Amino acid sequence: MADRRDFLRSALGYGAALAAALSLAPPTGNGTDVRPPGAVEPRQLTLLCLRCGQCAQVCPTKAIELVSAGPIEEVGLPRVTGQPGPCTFCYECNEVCPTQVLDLGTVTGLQQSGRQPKLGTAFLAHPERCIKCDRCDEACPYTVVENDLTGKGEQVMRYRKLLEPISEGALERETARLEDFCRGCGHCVNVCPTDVLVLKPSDRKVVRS
Amino acid sequence: MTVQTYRRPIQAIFLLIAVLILGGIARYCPFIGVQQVAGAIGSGLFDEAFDAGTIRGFSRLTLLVGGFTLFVIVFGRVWCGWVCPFGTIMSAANALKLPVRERSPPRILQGYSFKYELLAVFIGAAMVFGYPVFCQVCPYGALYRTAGPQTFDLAMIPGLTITFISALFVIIYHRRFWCKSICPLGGLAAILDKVSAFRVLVDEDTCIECMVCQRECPMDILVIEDSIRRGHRTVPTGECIRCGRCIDVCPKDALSFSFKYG
Repeated sequence: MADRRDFLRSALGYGAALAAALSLAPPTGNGTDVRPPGAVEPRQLTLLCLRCGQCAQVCPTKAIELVSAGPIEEVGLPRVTGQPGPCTFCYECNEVCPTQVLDLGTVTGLQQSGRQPKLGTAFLAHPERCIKCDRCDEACPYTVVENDLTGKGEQVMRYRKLLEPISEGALERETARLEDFCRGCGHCVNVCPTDVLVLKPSDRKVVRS
Repeated sequence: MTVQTYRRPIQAIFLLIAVLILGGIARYCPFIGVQQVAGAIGSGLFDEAFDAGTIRGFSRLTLLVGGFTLFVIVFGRVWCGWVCPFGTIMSAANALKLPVRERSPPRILQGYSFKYELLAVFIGAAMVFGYPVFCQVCPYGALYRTAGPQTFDLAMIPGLTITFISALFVIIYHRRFWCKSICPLGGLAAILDKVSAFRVLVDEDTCIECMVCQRECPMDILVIEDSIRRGHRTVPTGECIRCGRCIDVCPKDALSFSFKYG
């Protein structure tokens, strides 16, 4: 019975230590990184992700990088920055994820209802450094979609113009339209010669297909 | 037909599943689920945790933790002896019979109790940090990260090293050293196992107390001393992994599996 007594005694000790530690550390979720497709919301991701890194391993374009610095609970989480590669929405990360934090079910559910998942939105972080080369416009795989949607001989939407704030009112309207079709894949970030673009998470999780 | 004729193929099947399915062992490792539940309790994200991910309409976490709990309550540590791929790997490492001198482990790792302490520590860690902490150091996890369908890269080397070192300990120390003294999931299973009715039954009339079963037991259970010599019909549960070696080696066939208490 010495075993059981030891067990109870250590259990009590750990319980006390745990109670003390829990009162100190409220776990949080990071809302500033862009996650791979089908990701659950930030707090769920921090809680449930194993940090196994298989998503990064299977990613054919190396779009997924694992967080390597910062708060301890963030280390090892997958994120998409457009570097070194853009996301092509092949969903291999969703297929390999063992804990369904990158949920294939979410993705297929969206697709069945005629929508596509959205990782975030590209954002012109440093307008003063932009050289207006329009490479982002050429690289964007989804501008075409937008043109089709607006249709009716409307002026062709220039991608960079969307990113570039023109005036206060225009900024709001244009940002809303950008949100509509930008999927946060990072193709533009990837080709940008002056690194003025970054991906930001978006409140919207889908775009029309 | 010995118990091992059934057990070995079943172990092999589960090992293959673990290695070959996309996502690897982590798809069904219950300790991941246990830590996630602990993390959910610690961070107050209970609903969020159970909402994330479904398998055929059921919450993944419910299936994983609930399924494991039910299985162990009914069948006990059959999980450890028949299902767990890591147990299989550790047994296989030992079966290689490498020419190493057996040693006894450091004092703190002797006996059965250390795995309960690890269980407490890592459940506590999951609650405090709010994510599956044990998975970062788990040799089982290190293995699926390497043995899965993905390509090899240098980042896997630390994980592999952990796996090999723990396998080495098994070879040096004890056959089921991992399951007996270290594995926190084994510790949890051992606690739930106490209520399992699936036990090894000893026939008092046939048993000649030759103690062959006690020498054969990979978990060092005192099969006879703790059962019929203490007036019980069955081998005490908790540490018994139902591998059936004792049943196989008994010269009088006095041992058998049964659904009986006592």
